[in-house]
Amino acid sequence: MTRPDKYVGKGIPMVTAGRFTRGMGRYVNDLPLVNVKHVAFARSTEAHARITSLDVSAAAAHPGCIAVYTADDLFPLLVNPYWGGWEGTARAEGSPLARNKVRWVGEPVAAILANSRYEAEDIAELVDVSYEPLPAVTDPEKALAPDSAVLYDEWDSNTYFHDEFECGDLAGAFERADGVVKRRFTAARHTGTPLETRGIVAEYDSGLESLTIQCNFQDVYLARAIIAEVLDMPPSQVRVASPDSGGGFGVKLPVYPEELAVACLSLKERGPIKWIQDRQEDLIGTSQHRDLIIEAEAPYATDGKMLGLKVRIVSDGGAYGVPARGNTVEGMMAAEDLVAGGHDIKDYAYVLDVAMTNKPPTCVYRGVAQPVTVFALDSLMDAIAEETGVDRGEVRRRNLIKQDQFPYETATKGYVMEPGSYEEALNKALELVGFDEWPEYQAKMRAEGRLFGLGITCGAEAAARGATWYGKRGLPISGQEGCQIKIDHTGRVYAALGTTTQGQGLETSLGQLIADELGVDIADVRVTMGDTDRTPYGAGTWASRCATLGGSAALRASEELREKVLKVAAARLEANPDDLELADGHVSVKGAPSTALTLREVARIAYFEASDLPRDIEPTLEAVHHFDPPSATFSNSTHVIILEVDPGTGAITFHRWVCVHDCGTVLNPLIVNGQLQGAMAQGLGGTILEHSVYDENGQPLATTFMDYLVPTSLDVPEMELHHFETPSPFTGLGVKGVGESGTVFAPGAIATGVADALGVHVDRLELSPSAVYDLLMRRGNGDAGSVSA
Amino acid sequence: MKPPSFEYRRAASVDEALELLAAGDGDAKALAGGQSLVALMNLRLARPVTLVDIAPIAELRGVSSNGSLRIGALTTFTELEQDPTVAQAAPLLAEALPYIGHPAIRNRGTAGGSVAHADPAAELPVVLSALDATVTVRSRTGERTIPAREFFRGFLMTAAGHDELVTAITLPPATDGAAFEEFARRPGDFALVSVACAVSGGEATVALGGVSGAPVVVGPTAVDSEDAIDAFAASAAESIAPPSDVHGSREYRQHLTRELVARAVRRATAARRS
Repeated sequence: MTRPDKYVGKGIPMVTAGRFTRGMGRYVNDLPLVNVKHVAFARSTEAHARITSLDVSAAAAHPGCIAVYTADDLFPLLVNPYWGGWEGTARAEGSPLARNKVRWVGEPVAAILANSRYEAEDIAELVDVSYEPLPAVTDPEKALAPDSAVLYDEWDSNTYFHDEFECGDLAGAFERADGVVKRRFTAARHTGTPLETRGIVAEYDSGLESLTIQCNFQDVYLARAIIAEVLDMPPSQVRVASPDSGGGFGVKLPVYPEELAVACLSLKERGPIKWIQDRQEDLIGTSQHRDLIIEAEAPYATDGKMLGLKVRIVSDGGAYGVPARGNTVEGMMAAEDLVAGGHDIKDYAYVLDVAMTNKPPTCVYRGVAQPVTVFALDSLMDAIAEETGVDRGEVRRRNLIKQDQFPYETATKGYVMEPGSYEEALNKALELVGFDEWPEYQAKMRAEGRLFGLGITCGAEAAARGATWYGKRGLPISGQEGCQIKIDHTGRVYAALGTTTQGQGLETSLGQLIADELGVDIADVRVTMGDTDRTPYGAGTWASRCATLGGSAALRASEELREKVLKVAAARLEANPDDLELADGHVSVKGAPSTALTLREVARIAYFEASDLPRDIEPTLEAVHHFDPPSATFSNSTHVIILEVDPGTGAITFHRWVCVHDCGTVLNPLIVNGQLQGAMAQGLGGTILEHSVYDENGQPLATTFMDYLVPTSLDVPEMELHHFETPSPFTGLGVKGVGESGTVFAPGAIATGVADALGVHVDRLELSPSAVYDLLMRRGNGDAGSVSA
Repeated sequence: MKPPSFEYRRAASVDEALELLAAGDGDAKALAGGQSLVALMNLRLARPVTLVDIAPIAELRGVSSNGSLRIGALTTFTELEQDPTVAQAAPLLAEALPYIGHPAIRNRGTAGGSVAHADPAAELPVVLSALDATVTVRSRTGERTIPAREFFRGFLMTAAGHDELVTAITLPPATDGAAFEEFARRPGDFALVSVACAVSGGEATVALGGVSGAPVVVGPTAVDSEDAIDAFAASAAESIAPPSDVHGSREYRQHLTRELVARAVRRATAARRS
């Protein structure tokens, strides 16, 4: 392909596509290893029980058994058990293998080492554990009750975190109100199911006294911090590197017990130890998500304006605080993001409880709490429309932050939001689906016995949270991102970032940005990520942050390098750097293109002929920059869905799905649209198909892909994507986050659409056909099969 | 998700397979397409000591028709889908085939394997039950032919002994009308409810899948009016006590049964009623 004038803004195909489609990716499981020992875990079959005996003699006697480890063998290694969490969270001693008690089905109890995973699994079956069952705590509200069984003996309740907040004049808002909408919203549990499950290889080198971890972590520096702290090793002696990784979505951010156990085992065994998670282990042991309750009271005026918001939030945190974010994130972000969703809410109060239960921990998954907060906010908008008679579009228009209110500080002072295209995006989406004609159309379809509904979500996605969010609250999580760029001695470019890649196309989008700044062909830009020995300190990949923060750091490093290239060239050409320009692989004098050096010639000077350069120009062409955002970035979206419910089956059919999106400057429309489509598919999955179901004994009921259903290409409808580009003043090139917003806005759009189709309130994000059937029955005539208009 | 160790034997003939199955004394399993068995082994829910791979046995492949349709046990679903004889001789089966898994599963999965596995939500057992088809099994001591309605005994349980190999299924001549209806969470998933409907002489027989341990047959019942169809659908739904699970409640499955029976009978009788 010939080099375009500018790469940014163009749909450049992913530069990694050839490698991956030809099966040449290298994932953890593909690493060539010598003398590796494989791990399988014996896992708890009980949700909540005391371990009364743990007999590993039969396992140890198996001819293929290299070693069996239990908590007693590993615990002395854990100088500082760090079962992390925010400041203010309850703390408990942690262990990668269960000690004395088990707290969820699937908790690792013993680790078996063998020469193959097959043998290791055979041996794991021989571990004999006796349990004294305790009452399983599976409901977060019951978990908080004084009579509940308590998960941690050293605590007097299951409260992991409690917070209360009030601002503005909420009492006044209730007094001024013409009415109050009260609703209770809940969301089912689901998980991320990356195509590639978790996996780790740990190798301790006793000569160097160093530990090398190759793992598909999304944040290698966080993993290094946790592992070094737990093992009491200097972080500089621990290298964490992420090879290729097939999807992450947040669930590869925590440092789980299994990964810590493998790191411990490599210290014990002094050689490479490997564990590749299988899908069953993923579905019962990887962090899960949502499982939130939001009870809301919203005072409103007859013109449709919501005057304030009072909520009680209960988050089901699961059985332990997973390092380092703990399990408060869903709850805390719900509390913050209800007033950072693009609506002007100044009078606000919340009470938040995060409860421990006998289920896997909840942590961060694409969108974190926002799919639920958007669902709640848009359902409240519809409730206000229903009460006031103001149309659903107009209610939203009246509640969105107005253009002249930006920069907008949120009620909790958690964020400062930059301008977007909130009202334009809403108007455009409504226009695209013919919102004005909708009531007539819906009535016509009803007359034919068909249940059509229109769902709307609109607002902001909080993304790319900086240091103010995590680091200032006590966690070893860097909000900033770093990028190092080098032009090698032949003029080719190498960029290294602290982010990691799970298939998002960062090598391409950041390559475009760097190629533009340095005037080179994108084929000559190599972007690498995620290696604590080789890439600058960064915070990895989450919160739609890589193009915004990594891109900003890359832009600054590129700019610095460009200036240096011009200075080196100026010295050789005896020109003023200001009179030079760098484009198309050449540095030339502006207006006199024949006086030029190739970038290769400039690089040669910088590396090998530095003696010709003025003393104030250092040899080589390298630059590193770090970027921290003021608070976060906010992209905005409107989704409008027209769907149909089949009263015979409860199935939902999508007829239109319009998304009008504004993530500021679009670096690569192919990648941005791919992010949106994938995220919308995951939002659809979490709403209709994907549910991590537990029974009242804490037993997981969805442990294979026969019961945990992810959407396939046949389940995902065509999506109509449109963009506005309102650049962010906070980031390089004006980029705002995009990775999660599809997941954030899809569930609420589906739920409000189903509510509109059936004429009932939808209070729970769990719209399986069976759940839709229950809603149909609630319509009042008691006969879902004979729905009338 | 790795299977426990097992012995793998490849059988070149039916007789050799039968010897190996008998020698296994209940701990040997025949391996055909492996689309259900291998998954169960990986979950360690099935632990055969010996796997008898019958894939090389050519005589178990293929379809023949002389009014009734005989399907060799090793015939894959894709082969059935592509065979014009099947569409002509067994329209109900032809309609059900695309619901079986995905193309990759149909490329490997076999008719005999589906029957021997006897998943209550699988399509083929439901079709065979509706049509009153037969299953032929062989052991070292002989061959017997078992009506499908007696063959499927319960969840993953059949009338075949552990030393018997399913060799063929035989479908009777096509009925006056037929229709297959199924609802699953996603295309290709096991059915929440499936309905195979065969109509002969104004009477409908349905077999219901996914609602019990084995297909449930209802009818034959005269369905000569809209009211009769609705009444038949309602009685079919009332006759079952389906399980509640992560995919749907008992009430929902009953509702779905009523809906799908009505849809299937209406389609199967459409030509006649018009």
